Order: sequence, then C-alpha cells, then structure tokens
Amino acid sequence: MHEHDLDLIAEYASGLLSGEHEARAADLAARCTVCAEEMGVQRQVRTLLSSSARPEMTTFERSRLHRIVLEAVAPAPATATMSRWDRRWLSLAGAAAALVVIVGGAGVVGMLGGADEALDGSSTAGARVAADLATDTTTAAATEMAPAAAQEESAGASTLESYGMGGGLPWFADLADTDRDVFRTVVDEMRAVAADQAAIVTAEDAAGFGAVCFPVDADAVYAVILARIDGAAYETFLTGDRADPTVVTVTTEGCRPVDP
Amino acid sequence: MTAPDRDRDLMARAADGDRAAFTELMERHEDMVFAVAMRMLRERELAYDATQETFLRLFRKADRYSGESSVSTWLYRVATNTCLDMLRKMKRRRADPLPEHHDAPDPSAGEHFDAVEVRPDLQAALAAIPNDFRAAVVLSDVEGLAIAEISEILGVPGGTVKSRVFRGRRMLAERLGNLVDQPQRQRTDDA
Repeated sequence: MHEHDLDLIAEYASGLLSGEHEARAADLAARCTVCAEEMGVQRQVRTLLSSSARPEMTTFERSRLHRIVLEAVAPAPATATMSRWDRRWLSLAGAAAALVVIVGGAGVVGMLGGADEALDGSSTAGARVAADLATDTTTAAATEMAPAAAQEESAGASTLESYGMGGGLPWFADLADTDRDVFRTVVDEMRAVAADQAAIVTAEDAAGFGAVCFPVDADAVYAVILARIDGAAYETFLTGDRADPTVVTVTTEGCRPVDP
Repeated sequence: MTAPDRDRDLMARAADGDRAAFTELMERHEDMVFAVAMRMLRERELAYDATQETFLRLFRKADRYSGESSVSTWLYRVATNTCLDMLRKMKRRRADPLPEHHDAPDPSAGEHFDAVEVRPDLQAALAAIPNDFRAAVVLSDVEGLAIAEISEILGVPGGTVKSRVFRGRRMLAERLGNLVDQPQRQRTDDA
C-alpha cells in the first residue's frame, strides 16, 4: 500500500510532468484505483471548463462599454479655469453684487497705460476715450495707472495690501461697504483662478470707476470692469490679448446693470 | 509585429494619452476580460461593471506598466483583482441591491444569454468554491494560462497556484456530483 500522492497525479493529469516524475505518476495511475480516480477527476473537470462556451458581450454592451470608458478617460477641457470663473461671474452678478462698470473705458485707459486723460466719468468722455482704446497696443498696459488715479489713496488701500497686490495702488473705494465686500469676493474668486497671482491689478479713479485685471493664462488678460453710472451700478467682463492688450470699446450698452 | 509587441506599443501610446491606442487595446482584450469577469462573478451586470472598471484602471495605471510582463498578463491581473475586490465588497454588503444602470436595456441580452452563457450548473459550482480557488481554476482551465503566468497574475508562488487549481477542481467535482466521478481518496496537505 503506497502513500497516494494526489498532487503528483494532478500534475500528471495537467500535463505538467516530464521524465521520471511523469513515468512514476503514470505507473501509479495504472496500478492504483485511488490514483486513477484522482486522475479522472482532474482531467474531467479541466476538460469541462476548457470546453465551456465563452461568455461574450452583446453588440449593445460592447458599444456602451466603449462609450462609458472613453468618456471617463476623456481629457479635461483646456479652459477649465476660465469656465469656472465664468460660472462664478454669473452667480455673483445674479446675487446682488454691487459691481459697477467703467463707462467709456476711461478708467481702463488709465489702467492699460493709454492717454493721460483727466477722468471725469462722463459717458461722452468715455466714448471718446473708447475710440483711443481701440488702438492702444501698449503691452505693459495692464500694470500702468493714469496719474490722477495713481495719486489716489483711499481707505481701501489697506484692503488691497492685505491681498498682497500692488501696494500703493488706489483701491476702488467709492462704494458702500456692501459693495466693497462683494468686490472683495470677486477679487478672491479671481485669485482662485488666476494663473499669475502677482499680476492681479486693481485700480480706481476719483469718479468711482474701477477694475480688477488679471492674467488667466499665457495668452489672455481678463478684467472685471466696475462702474457707477448716474447712481446705478453696472458691470462687464472683458478679455484682452496679452501681446496686444487692446480693450474693445466699453459702453453702457455692453454692460449690464447690477442690483445693489 | 507580434501580438504581444503590438500590445506593448499600444500600451506605451495609451500611457501618453493616446486615446486611439487605448481604444484599440480595449477592443483587443475586452472579450477576455469580460469572460474572466463572468466566470468570477457569475452575474452579467456585475461582470460588465468589472470589465468597465478594469479598463478604467488600465488607463489610469498605464504609465506604471513596466513592460516586464506581457500586456495580457497585466490585464489578467487587473481584471482578476477587480473581480476579487468586488467579491470582497459583496461579501461585506450582501444585503445591498445591485447597482442600477440608467442606459436603455439591451433588447438582445436575453437571447444572447441563452445562446452562449456558461452551463448554469458549472457556473453555480464555480460560484460555490472560494474566490482564490475559483480565480486559479478559471485562469488555468478556462483561460488556459500556464502556472508561471498565473503565479505572476495572482502574486503567489507557483506551488500555491498548483495547489489551488488541484483543490479547486476537486471542490468542483464534488459540487457537480454525478457529472464527474466522485473521488474516493486520501487527501494530501497543501504545499
């Protein structure tokens, strides 16, 4: 009576043996009923499994698989940052933001390094200055200030400095505290999305025009333009090419009123 | 270019974000992955989910593929581990309902099931044996992989693979009853 080496028999049944091991297993299977039964079990189950039909996906399942997987691995949109800003911009505008808009772009001229104009905030002056804006191609414009505006120091300067932005630049302070809080929220939003935090610039002038400009990516500059016109608050959102930061004409028609 | 070389090329390109390469890789191996998942999980919707998850994991980890093993071996590993993960979660949440799918139903699914599905008694027997033994038996006897490759896929020594395959077959034989001769023998200990 030998010790039944069933694993040896199983290996033999699986075709894993050679040489003397194979010969020994074959001999055991031939002489021992227990070993023979083990060999039969191993071979039959193996054959049953290997010959079973292979499950297949239907055409519908296959196409669904491709659609779901390929959608899941699709790259994120390149303008994700801008998209997020756009959504916040819309939500802020609809949430009683007291953002005001520069009319005629006079303040924008000052900020973008255009004509050294006396800023009076009138729409007429703004329309004239807007024409100049169309040809303004100063590349460093986004960081320059009109002299009048640059001399303005306001209570908001400390707020500006608290954001670590351009110390000494005037702050858009000609608004109620509520407006300032909303403006701060807008600045926070832009800080969250701006690619170059150090390049965020704010500016205002004596008439209450203001703007916050920031570069979002290597190619574009964006600006939130704020102004108060005849006592009403307006807002608009501009884009400019970094290499050619000409701002398109800004008029009240291009702005939208904001609920205080 | 041989099939394994083609796979490696596609894998390298997929790791760089080439979606066309990833799509081709998926088309070359989706049947295999689904078949393994069906054997491991038994239920069609679960197998489908496992297939989907396997390819998502493949894409996410494509940059970690070293090329030491074949892409198919790597895929077998991902598929098997995905199924084993699902089985462990199912065991812990046995009372939870199956995940819902909101796509329109496949009108031909029922017919296809009857036409090509694994024999119910064999599938039931597979489902009844422990997960680790099932994985070894499926990879060996259904997929026809060598012990060395299964060892690499499951991350266990070759001796352990053989032990699980042989014992797994014996368990299946007991559950299949009169379809396979009942063994009357003395069992040896595992290695």
